Amino acid sequence: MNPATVVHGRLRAGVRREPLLPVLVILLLALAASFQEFATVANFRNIAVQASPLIIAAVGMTYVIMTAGIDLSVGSMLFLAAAIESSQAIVGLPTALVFAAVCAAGALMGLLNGVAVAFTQVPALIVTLATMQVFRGAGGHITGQQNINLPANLLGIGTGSLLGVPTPVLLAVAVALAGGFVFSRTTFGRYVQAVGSSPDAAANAGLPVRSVLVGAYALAGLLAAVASLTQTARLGAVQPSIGQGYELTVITAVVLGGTTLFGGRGSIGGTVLGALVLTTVQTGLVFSGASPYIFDIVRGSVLLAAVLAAGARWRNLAHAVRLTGRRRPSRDGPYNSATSA
Amino acid sequence: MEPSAAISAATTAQPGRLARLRDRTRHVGWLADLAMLPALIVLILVLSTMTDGLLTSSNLINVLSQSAVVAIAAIGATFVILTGGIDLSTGSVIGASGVASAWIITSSGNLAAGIAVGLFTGTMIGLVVGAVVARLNVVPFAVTLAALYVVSGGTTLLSHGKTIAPVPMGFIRFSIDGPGGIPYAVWLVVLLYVIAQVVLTRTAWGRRVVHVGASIEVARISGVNVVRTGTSVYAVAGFFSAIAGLVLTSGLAGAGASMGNPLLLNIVGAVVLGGTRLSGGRGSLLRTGIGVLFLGFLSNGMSLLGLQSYDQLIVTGAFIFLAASADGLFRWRRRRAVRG
Amino acid sequence: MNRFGVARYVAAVAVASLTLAGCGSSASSDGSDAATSAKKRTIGVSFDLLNAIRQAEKASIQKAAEAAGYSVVFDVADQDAQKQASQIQDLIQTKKVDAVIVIAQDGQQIASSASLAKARKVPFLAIDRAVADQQNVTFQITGDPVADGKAVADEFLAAAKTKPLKVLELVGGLTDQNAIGRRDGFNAALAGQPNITIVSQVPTDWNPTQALDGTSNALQKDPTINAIYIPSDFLLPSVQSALTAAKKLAPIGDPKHIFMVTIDGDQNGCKAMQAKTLDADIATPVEEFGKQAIAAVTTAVGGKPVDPKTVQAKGLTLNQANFATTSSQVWGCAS
Repeated sequence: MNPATVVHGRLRAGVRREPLLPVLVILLLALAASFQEFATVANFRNIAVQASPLIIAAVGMTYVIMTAGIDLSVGSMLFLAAAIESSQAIVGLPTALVFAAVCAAGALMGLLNGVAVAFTQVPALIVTLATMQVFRGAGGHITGQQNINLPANLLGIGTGSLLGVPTPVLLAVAVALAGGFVFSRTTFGRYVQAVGSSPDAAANAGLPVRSVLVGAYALAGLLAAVASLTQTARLGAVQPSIGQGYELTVITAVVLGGTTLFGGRGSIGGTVLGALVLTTVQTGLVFSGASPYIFDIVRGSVLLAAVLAAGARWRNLAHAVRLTGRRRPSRDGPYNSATSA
Repeated sequence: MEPSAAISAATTAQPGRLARLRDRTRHVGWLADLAMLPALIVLILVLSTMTDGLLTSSNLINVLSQSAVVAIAAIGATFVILTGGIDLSTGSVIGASGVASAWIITSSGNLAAGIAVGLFTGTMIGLVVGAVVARLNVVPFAVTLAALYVVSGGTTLLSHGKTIAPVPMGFIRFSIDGPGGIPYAVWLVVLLYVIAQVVLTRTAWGRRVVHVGASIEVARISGVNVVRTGTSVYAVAGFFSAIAGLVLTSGLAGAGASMGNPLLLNIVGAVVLGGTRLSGGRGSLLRTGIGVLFLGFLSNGMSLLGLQSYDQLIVTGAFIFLAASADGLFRWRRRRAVRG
Repeated sequence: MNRFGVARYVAAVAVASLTLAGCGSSASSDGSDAATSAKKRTIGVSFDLLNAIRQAEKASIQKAAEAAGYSVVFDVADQDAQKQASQIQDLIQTKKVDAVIVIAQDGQQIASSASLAKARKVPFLAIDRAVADQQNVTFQITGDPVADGKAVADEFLAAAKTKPLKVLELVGGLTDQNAIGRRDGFNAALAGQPNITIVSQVPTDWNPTQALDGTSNALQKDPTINAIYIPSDFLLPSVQSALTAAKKLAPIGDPKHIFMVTIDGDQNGCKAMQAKTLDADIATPVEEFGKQAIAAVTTAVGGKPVDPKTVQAKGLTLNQANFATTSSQVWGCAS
């Protein structure tokens, strides 16, 4: 077999698996060609740092969405975690203890979500809609809706660097690798996909459905807290509007990356790419000097374009799997094939 | 019912199964729709003991008129959720239709033209969204999220972020005056709910909507044009969002691009609180109405209590969860009883 | 629903309502105690949102109200114009407050609340954000956003005399009339000025993270940026962080120093002025808002017309030259 064909075949398989990769590459190349300051190490470092909290939070959200659930409270969790970090009781403790406390708080928040989703019949949308309000209210209570500056020792996790690599990036890489590893190589990861695919079948097969759900949401809460630590450190202060609307951004990154909202199928790598694409678009808009009015329009169009483009690619696959069960490919909805009916 | 099971059921040509599925998805009876009514009553009772004046006629009318905009938009949201979809762009369509109509009204003085343009704007946006969802087969969450950004950004761009006002006095008085002291806007809500419920339960289109939500494969096999139904339901949602936008413009005496955005959570929350299933196939306008009233009384009660805004958030969240779990408790118990 | 289920549910609701009662009683010490004591006048206050400067405005109202013997009921609308209209309606019609003080989410859309107040003969006072239709407004005291923007421009013009400025302009909320005013005032005053170029306009939507990322991107795009206009102190920490990350946060006198001017005058702005990393801050006269609003309430409930009916309190320019003498008048420096 001709090596070119092998490479070509591998490339096509890779692209089919991660349709967002060529999109990101083309985007980067186009921007680098248009603006000379774009293709610098400093700029790529900027993009990586800006994308890092989003990547961390989105990995957690990927797990939740893979269980066919959703977490609307991630923005509020971000805020509450920051509020706890800045609270009188915690902020003066040694740095490591502060981080541990905030992470524990995040895991607890996620645990609350998970227990509510797993043990009651309330849909995840409602549970997390409710906790979205509760967490933001609790955070407002703690901060008194004021700005609170963080002391210098807590800023390193956002502004520092190790061996030239900024700390947020290191955290994001670690989370993404760990998240991908757990997803594809551990029992928990497989269970998450099974539960998302068909909770009834999973239950019948003896899987601990409830524990898996609780675990997924707790993980999302923990990662939201980690994202909060690094993001708030970058900002230098806790402000009342932190995280507002963030859930939509995180979910956009996950959906862009190919994880289906129906559950059971997903990709951590895709989520990382989705976050990178979103951040690159944001940066590109500033570089292009575009009018402030069009930022939102571009954001929505990018999402739509990516989803449509991926949809077209998957349509053949859709035909094939349609009759064998609920497996619906990434971005496709249930209206399989516009050509029938 | 699992699509695979439904398909095998249909393809073994057992009309009995199909008929049973149809029966199961038909509107189950209005008594079941009142499942959330006890929660609403408990809420009102609890709030009335803690506040002064909650149960006065003037305050009750206030609650109704304060809930009117959400109530109207929730009609469209109910239809969309009945098909198993969701519409995140509702808030932005409310803003877009309101701004479009206010612009026509203030620049041309023609009220009828303004209303028509507003309704047209909302319906067209909904049609486009519906076409992408149903024809191009993209997940509703993603499409309507994209629409949210594009419509909101577009409206802000076209209006330069400015609010369009003042609108004519007659238009404003629609939300204030009315027979029996109840504003015309509230009567409109009641009328729309009755019409919508009739459409849902007694028209072929309404039945198709429910079938598509219950099982899209079975609906297609039994001859329903799922693509057309799916498209039309988002257009209908756009239409009702437009009406809501007009009522909001009337109530606020002006229209701004971002005026509808904060309402999205209340709209979707009201529908789901009322007990309409997010997976589609089960639900009704009566349920949504109760959900709207629940959120309306909660908000009104907390405002009267003078709770700190962050405490209000906590209480709102807690009550939303409690109310939803009450319905869930009921279903869980019933399922347990059935399984034996 | 069997009896056990009902009992569990009722218990849960009872617990929730007890919590509500607990929260409600701690908050209502502001309000409903008025009913028991000698007929104290109650003022309903409706804010659009709650953040650092709103907390200062709230405090100034409460201080003045307490001094005048009024009690205050306080509502926040979370940036929802419709919610604000509902809350004001509740204040006027059900809680029957004696006056309302409002920071409008939208100066046009607050008109219906103003006319409701007029119809119920409740004095309607506006602060901070101007109400478009003044016919039903009893008294209004606001800043002057366009003048504030121009004051910022004046500082830029003075600095541009020594060297040409390449400006990064951060843009606040695109539908916020105050933000629009500040932006327009700034841009109009600088139009056609040869020494000053606005090289980048970054939208922030009043979001600190967007301000942080946007500033980093703008500095990356054009490293020769040597001036930044921040339309509110609220975004200052984000900009400082972005500058620190780019190793460009330097005090005046350092050749790397970037000329910066903000508006509002909060604690962060004051600290930055003291550290000489901020060149000027146009302070909002928050104390005046509360003082004059309460004074107007007293006049209005006494049945007399308020004169002057509209006050536009210009921002107080605090710059490095006048810092020693002026800082005491800035609310952010006082705390």
